[in-house]
Amino acid sequence: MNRELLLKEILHRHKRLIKSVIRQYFKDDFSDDVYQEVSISLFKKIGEEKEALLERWTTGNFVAVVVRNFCISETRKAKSKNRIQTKNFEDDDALIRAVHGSTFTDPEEMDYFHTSKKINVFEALSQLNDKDREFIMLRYFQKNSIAEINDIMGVTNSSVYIDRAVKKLKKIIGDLDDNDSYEIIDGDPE
Amino acid sequence: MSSYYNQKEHILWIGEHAKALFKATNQSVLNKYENHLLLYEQDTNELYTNATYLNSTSSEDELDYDLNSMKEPVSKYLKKIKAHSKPGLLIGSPFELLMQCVIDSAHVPQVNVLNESAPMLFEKVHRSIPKNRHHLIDLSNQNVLFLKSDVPFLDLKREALETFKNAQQCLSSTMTADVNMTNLSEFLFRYQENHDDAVNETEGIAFL
Repeated sequence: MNRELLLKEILHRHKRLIKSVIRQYFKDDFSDDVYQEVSISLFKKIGEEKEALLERWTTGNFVAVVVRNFCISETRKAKSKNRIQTKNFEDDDALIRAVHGSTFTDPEEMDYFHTSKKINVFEALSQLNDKDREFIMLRYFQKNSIAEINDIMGVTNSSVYIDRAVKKLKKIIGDLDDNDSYEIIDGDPE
Repeated sequence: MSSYYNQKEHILWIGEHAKALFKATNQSVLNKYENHLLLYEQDTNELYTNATYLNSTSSEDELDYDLNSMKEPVSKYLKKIKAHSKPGLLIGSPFELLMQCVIDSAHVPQVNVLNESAPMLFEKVHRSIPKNRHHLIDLSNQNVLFLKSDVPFLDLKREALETFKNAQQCLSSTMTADVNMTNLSEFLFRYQENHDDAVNETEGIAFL
């Protein structure tokens, strides 16, 4: 059967279903764009899938599963993009402020931090594992609430993970620079 | 006195698969028939003067693509075609909901013979349509050509089988052909002369 015509038939039949699934994940403004993307995704899936496997499906179930998986993967991609953006912390003074818990009033003190301590903090962060680093980024740079971090990372008690990550960071910084003592805030970044 | 009917036999091309075949069919063969296209929605790139788009005929904003919503407009359309054309041929894919809707609109006229107990000089008969099924239409003098293809999905297969059964009950004759057939022009050329011979002599087309 002509796959293009088959897809057209399926899209006509399940337009409402597709739009309702999309609305669960995306705002109405994007629903038309996502609908187009979903159509392409469905076309690929029907083309790639072996006919023997498709025989187990009804069109409604197949469409619902493909659309839901597509929406979930798209939302994950969007979240990971946010995370990647936060990792780009060059010239980000917030990192210093968050980790050291200090606000600078004296410009000289600021300069001192920039020249000497910032490198240590970056080094320390780079030595953390990905998960710990993400918790610190989400909490102290994106300034997400604990509940939001729970959602993003898929855990129920992100505060515990954040505490652990901060302790590890403290330890690493202590090892890097024994002469200075750092006080890391582990409360609300606000 | 001219006939009330159009003298040409009509072909009703139903759905997207039929439209694709319509485009591929020889124009001189098509000219021997009165062609109508029944489609769900208009493609922006194509415009057919003899096409009816169900989506645009509906008084509602957008007609849903399901059997219940399309029943009424399809029935109206079929009645209109039937009133102005000679009996003809329906062509479409049994996997398309639009084709299924057309076949569902057909019914077998029930002939009720009154006073069966007492033999009479004449028998009073009348054809009746079951109650609450006013959308049904008598297509018993129409033939249908189903465009068969391999469809992977369970529900499409099931629906197609039901459509075949309904068509066998309610229409005059049911033929099948492959959706990618290349000799439809040849078939239609012969079909004009003799229906049965056309089926027997054309490769790839058979009675169901």
